[in-house]
Amino acid sequence: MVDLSVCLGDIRMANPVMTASGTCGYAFELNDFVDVSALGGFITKSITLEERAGNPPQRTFETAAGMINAIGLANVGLERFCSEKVPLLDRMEIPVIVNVAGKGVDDYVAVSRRVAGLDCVAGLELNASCPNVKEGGITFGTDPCAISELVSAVRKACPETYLIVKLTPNVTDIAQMARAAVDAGADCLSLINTFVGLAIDVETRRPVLGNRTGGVSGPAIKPMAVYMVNRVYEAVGKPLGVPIIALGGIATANDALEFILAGASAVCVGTQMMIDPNCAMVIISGIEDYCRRHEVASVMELVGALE
Amino acid sequence: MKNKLKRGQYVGRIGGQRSFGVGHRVMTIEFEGEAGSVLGGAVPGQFVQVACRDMDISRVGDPLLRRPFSIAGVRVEPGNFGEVTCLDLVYRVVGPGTRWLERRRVGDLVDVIGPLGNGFTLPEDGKAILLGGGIGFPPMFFLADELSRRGVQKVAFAGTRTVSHIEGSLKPAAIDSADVLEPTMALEEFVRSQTACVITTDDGSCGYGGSIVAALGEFLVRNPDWGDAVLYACGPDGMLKALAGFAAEKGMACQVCMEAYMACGIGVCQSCVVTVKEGTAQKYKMVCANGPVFDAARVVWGS
Ligand SMILES: Cc1cc2nc3c(=O)[nH]c(=O)nc-3n(C[C@H](O)[C@H](O)[C@H](O)COP(=O)(O)OP(=O)(O)OC[C@H]3O[C@@H](n4cnc5c(N)ncnc54)[C@H](O)[C@@H]3O)c2cc1C
Ligand SMILES: Cc1cc2nc3c(=O)[nH]c(=O)nc-3n(C[C@H](O)[C@H](O)[C@H](O)COP(=O)(O)O)c2cc1C
Ligand code: FES
Repeated sequence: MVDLSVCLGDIRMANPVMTASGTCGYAFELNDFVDVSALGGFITKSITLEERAGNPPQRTFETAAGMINAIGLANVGLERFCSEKVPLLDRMEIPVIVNVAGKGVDDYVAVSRRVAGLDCVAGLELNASCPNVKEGGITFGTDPCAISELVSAVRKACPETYLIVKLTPNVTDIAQMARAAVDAGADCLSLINTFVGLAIDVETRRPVLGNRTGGVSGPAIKPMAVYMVNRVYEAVGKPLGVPIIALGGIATANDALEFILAGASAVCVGTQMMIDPNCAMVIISGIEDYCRRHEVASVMELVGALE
Repeated sequence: MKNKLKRGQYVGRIGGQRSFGVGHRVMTIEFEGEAGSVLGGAVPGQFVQVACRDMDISRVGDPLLRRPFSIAGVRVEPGNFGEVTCLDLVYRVVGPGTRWLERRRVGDLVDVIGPLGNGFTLPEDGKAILLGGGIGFPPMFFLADELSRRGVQKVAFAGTRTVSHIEGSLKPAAIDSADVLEPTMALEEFVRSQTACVITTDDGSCGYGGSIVAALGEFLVRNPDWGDAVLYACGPDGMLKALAGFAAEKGMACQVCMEAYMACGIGVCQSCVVTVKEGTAQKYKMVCANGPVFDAARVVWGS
């Protein structure tokens, strides 16, 4: 018997595979295709204080081995999330992490405070990394002082809550941002969000996306993501004992294993869940096969086992 | 008819494909068991998300995203081991995904998610005019089948840039017809539902030379008894916009089946939005989950 369970603080998950924010909806939207309760955990779409309509279309475009998106954090907002989605999340049998985004620190604090108090919520993921909205998101994630201020404020408002901070790769040194987040009170780090990119329609000489720029995701970004996870693990995760949730281009069990060996305690699948929702099951059983083949009793033994 | 229709991810087998016209193909995908019964429940206007690559590999390749295609028809046929549901797609070869589809041979496997989206609101009686432009025919073929089952009186308009795009399905009736605005059994896929059809081409190479909306206008002048019909349309945005304007002017009800660039196709990513009027407000609606069929009068058309 292979033990696939992992722990993020007090959050115990049956396996290390979770959904990535923004790619699997608010709750059970993918249940027609995959039994979401068989995953390790569920991370919701980003929730903001006010409902957001999102960016003007075109919002996505396929690129080589990936895609670029500028959805613009379109979401139902805190009130509707609580009235419409939370009753669904109450029925979810796996740990639920709510992803929180905002324009300013006050927004994050207001949403976090309300959401942290909900029974169905195991933890919060602060999206300090969305590249597709003018204010907020990435502006926090690219300045160590700003991320520190943000995390401290949410930490103060929600002292008991398990706090995950989601980092952007659009920085010179991601370990510096990771350090700032942990020093300000983050319990866990998740990385990476999308890389800022630009796709141009050469016929019209205009940007393909309504927002001009977007965020690149999918298999194309995986090697950079694995590197960043390893860098953050070596510099912050391992010395300070802070777990890492890794994501960026995962589509197969081997992709997930690369991230775990690089230092991740759990992984999220984003873009691939929209293409092949069942991939989560294939990844989970692939990790189990790997452990059996390598005579590993617990998947936790693999975390950071990169030679 | 809204939501909560069953859907799933299934593997089907190519039953065959042939040319619909230059650069255009008709493909049949066969499904058995649960897949067959779920996809067999599809209604006109719904679409499927097709993985246009080999999914059974350990490394993910291009094209990464699934490609959306309207359902052009569904038939249940007896097979060797129980019933087989045959799903028809009609597609134009434009890029890597559709080129991959073109290379599939009988017996090859394809991974399909569906049926997706909401279908047309169907009448129990009265009259219907079906308009398909460009690669907008497919849902019209399926709609014609269903209207024929219901005994609704119908006539179709099929608009294309040039005749070669549809020559694989064109019947002699289209060419022999002396009167271009007289509907005939002109297109193979409409013949099975006994739907007479007016062909329009932008370059005048067959049928009515000019826009499909202009043809409709002239047809209605000649046949005022069709003035109370419901319009059903699918095609390029320009055509749908012109038609929506025409319908508003004539006070005709008009349902349009729209396209938008999609990633998931199942309502989780918010990629595929169009602007729709809701009372005095304007809202983004997802084509994949709230559409693809919308009331033309409520769509806010782009420039
Ligand atoms: C609801 C819906 C129903 C459709 N039904 C049909 C149909 O019945 N027959 C048919 O031939 N085509 C249909 N299309 C268009 C079809 O999806 C595209 O032609 C196809 O995705 C092209 O893929 P490709 O790889 O061959 O070409 P690409 O080179 O990838 O794209 C060529 C063009 O196709 C469009 N396109 C590409 N990817 C997507 C995507 N993910 N979502 C939407 N559009 C895209 C873009 O406008 C692009 O410029 C439909 C689209 C939608 C949204
Ligand atoms: C369509 C789409 C929407 C996304 N929305 C969010 C979001 O709301 N909040 C967030 O923190 N990340 C969002 N992301 C980023 C993903 O969670 C993830 O970090 C990124 O896509 C990399 O992982 P992947 O390659 O597995 O998709 C989104 C990504 C995509 C493709
Ligand atoms: S394509 Fe993802 S929501 Fe419509």
